[in-house]
Amino acid sequence: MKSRALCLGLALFGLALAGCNQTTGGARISFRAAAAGPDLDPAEIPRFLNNLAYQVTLSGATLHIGAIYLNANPSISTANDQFGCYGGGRVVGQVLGALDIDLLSREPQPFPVHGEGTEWQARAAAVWLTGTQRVDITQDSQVILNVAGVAERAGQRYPFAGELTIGANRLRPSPNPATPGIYPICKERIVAPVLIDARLTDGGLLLLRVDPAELFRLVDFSSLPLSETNPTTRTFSKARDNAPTEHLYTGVTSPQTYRFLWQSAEGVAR
Amino acid sequence: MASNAEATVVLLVTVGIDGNVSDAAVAESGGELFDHAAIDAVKQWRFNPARRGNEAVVSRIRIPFRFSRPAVEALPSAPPTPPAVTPVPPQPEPSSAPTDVAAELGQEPIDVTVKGQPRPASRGTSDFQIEVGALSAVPRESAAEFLKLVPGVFLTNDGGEAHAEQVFLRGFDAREGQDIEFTVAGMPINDSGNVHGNGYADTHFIIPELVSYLRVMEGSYDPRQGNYAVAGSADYELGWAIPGITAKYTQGSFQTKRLLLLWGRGRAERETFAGIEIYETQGWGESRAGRRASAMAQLVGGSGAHRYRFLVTGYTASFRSAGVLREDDVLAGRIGFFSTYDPRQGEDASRISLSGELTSRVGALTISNQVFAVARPIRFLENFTGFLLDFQTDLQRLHPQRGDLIDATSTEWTLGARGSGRLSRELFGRSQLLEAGYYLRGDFASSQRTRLDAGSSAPYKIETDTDSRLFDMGLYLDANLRPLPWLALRGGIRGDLFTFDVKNNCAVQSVRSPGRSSDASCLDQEPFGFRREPFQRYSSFGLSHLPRGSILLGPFFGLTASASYGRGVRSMDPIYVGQGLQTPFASAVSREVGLSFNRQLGLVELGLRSAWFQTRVDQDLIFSQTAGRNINSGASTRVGSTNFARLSGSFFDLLANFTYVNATFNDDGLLIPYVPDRVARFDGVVYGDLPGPRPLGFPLRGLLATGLTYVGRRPLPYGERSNTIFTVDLNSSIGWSWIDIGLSATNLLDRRYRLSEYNYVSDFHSNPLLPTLVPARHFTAGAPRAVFLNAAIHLDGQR
Repeated sequence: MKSRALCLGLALFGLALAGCNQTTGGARISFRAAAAGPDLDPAEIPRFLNNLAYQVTLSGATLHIGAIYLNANPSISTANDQFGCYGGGRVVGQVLGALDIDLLSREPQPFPVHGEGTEWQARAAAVWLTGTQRVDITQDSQVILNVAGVAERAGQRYPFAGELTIGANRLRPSPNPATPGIYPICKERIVAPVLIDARLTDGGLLLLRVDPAELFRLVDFSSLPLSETNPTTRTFSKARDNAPTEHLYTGVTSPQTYRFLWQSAEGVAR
Repeated sequence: MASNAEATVVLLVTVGIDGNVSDAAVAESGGELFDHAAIDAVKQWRFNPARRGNEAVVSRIRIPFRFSRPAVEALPSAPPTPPAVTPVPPQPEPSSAPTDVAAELGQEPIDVTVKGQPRPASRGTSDFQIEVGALSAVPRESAAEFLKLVPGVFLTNDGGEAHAEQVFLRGFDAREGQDIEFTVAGMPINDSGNVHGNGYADTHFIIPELVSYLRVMEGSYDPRQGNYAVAGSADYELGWAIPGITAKYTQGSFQTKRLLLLWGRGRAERETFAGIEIYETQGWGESRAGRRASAMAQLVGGSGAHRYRFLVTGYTASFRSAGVLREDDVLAGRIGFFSTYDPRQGEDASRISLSGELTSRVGALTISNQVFAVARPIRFLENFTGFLLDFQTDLQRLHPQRGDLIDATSTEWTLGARGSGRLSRELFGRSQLLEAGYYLRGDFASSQRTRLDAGSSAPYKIETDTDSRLFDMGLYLDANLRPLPWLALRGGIRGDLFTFDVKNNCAVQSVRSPGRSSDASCLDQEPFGFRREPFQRYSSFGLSHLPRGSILLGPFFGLTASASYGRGVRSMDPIYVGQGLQTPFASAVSREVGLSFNRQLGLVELGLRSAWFQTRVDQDLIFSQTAGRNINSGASTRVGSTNFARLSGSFFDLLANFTYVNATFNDDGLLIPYVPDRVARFDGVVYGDLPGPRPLGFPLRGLLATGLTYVGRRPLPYGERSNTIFTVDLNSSIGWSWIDIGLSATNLLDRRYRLSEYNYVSDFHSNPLLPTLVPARHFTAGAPRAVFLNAAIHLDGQR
């Protein structure tokens, strides 16, 4: 207010050589970004019990994330065809660098690039599971999820492994000929809205934690088909041909799997 | 001031060897107003120079002027310049040195008959009425650049050389004219219903050499100002003072070539002329080539109490445009500073206009009527956002992003008329003027905006498709009263009725619960598939009442104080018109106080002005790159100061201005982005005959002109500031008899600068795999140094 009065005074007297500190408001910012597995004891991360009473022990779990976008609108949705796959709202932050996250590590693994955005309240996030192509190009052979481990239930052991991709294999036909564009491949690759409530500021840290246990919550390992090359191991397939794979895919594309934390430059957790 | 509007002024006039008046001083005063009127009149005269033998020499003569009340026109409230026809005084006798030749002339007063249009009465300090004169020698690439002669003007252009300049005026981002009423010889330039923005005003059809006079009013203080006069108005008057045929050829950097042919009748009849220009350039960077041709002709004449004026213009241009660049891409070396993302950008524009005007005086009543017609096809190709806006919708077959190149076309026809009746009456011993006028304008515009596929350039989406019929009928009353010798009250009221009849040919673009799929942009179905026609018609109107007035006190020893108030409006963009009883429009209220000082100081004429102003707008417009057009924003206020100085003499003309403005939104007090708060400009020219040899008896002429522009760091969105701009333009020439040769340079210091800068979201595939969805800095490159060789010949036998 004082600054504005000063400027008015300057204008009044024509003394325009001095500077005014008024602003258009807001600021563009840069921040660091990292991702990790859950914030648990390292020994506990690979071991969890899923909803179907399988005791799962992971030997490896890697998730490929193409990008992260933060939005000021909490209700962004790729389901609204008015906004396409970007989900509408206003994007206030983005991290445009791919990262293969070791989900079995609690240590933050930095994205290869800094995030950028505007000083604003982020209320929703979109996690882009993209790889070697732009989000709206159907063909993409990037492995999004790579898992291996053993599940046990009632004395039975189910060694498993598998990879998920999101390409032509995930393209869904439209149930209604009036809406041929209702399921573009980009909707499969964008996980949104993931809740976040953080005031983005310059120099902060965006931390994404992904709990591998969420991926397997509904997987019935006994229904997994055996690998054709290794009959002792069950495998998740790239095709949409069995329920356990679909449940794993649902886990990967579920917003509940992802949790964002923001730490300002001063280290104050939000 | 003499009573009863009668006075005698005796001037001591120095006539140069070229016959022009190089100096005029008052020997016997008849009052300041008459002194100025006499000086202004005699400066328009051209004499046969005095001669000693066969050699022209400088001479000095004494010329008495007797002002008496004319039969039809009362005391002009402003100096009656320029006279279209003036008597040619007797040829002075030769002398060996400047000599008083009054004896040869005798002492009989010369009765001066003034024809032509009297200049409008000043509406205050911010009413700039500028004779361009020698300042025309300062390099200017378009007629819009003459606006820089007045304070607070900054021009940018992100659409190429055929694109209208974006004008910032005294805290307004007037875009391409939306907030400034542009006219040439009274004929409107603003395009109502233009798809790029309502009020788009492209002045490139005006040949810069033909601009002789400019009236820029910063604010809305004159009831004659009409639609779009929110920030103010600019009126160009045209003229060409060199008699005979002038041929000018320019060639220079970037394979730029320009041929200009002009014909005129000389200084006394400078309003009658014809000119044609052809211009071509390869441009100073990728995707900047273009060409244009322009022709203008004006005929002014009359006899007795009647005066007519006909003006015809023709113009066609085709230019490529580089558009915007992202700063991060340039810094990373992904694209060059003068390069482009999309070389398909550009503009094709044409314009044909006709105007006829008749002014008649019947007793104390002066009646003027003007009719005009304008045809204006135009096409824009612009890509501000890359690959951002093409959403996959449910109804469409699957597709990737197809690109955001906008292909916008408008075809507009304008018909209109304006007129006034001005009555002069004697009251309080002084002449008082009352004027009533009308303005009628109809615009018939067809506009379409589509988006083109990045690969095939095929249109894939119609964004808007409208046929508009727009009418503006305005009436005004204006008084120019002088109740006291030192007090002038000027102002009145104006009313405008705007009517809108808009047919939206693409009224349905999305449907909930569709009945069938469609890749079409303009759908012919309602929810659940019920069929309908894709168009919808809307009609509406808006009515404005615009009080305007000024009080002027003085002059006291050359000093005049003024206070002004007025409202201006901008009609609604047809695209926003909905069916309703009344369509709102943007309204601005301007207030200002100011001081001006004008004085002849010996051989030098000095003019100083300083104004302090405030302007409030209830609905501002801000350009949206994602929409590709202006969009409504909130109310805003501008407070600031403009300062102006002009110093001129027989061999120089110097003009400087400086403006400071604080432009903020009313609701949060934040700065309005993009509006420069500090703008300074200097124009200067030194000219005259050179000492030394005189081949074949003709002196060598020399000229040096410069234009300096400074623009402070403009506020940008997100609390940022742009870079400063400082450029130097230079022009020099030497002439002899019928030929002139010169060099000119723009951006002489070759500063690499950003002409315009923006912060917004775009996706030009800087990251090959991921879209950028947060705001980033964008800019359009300023032109690098360019050097041109100019040659002109004057085929009139007098030079």
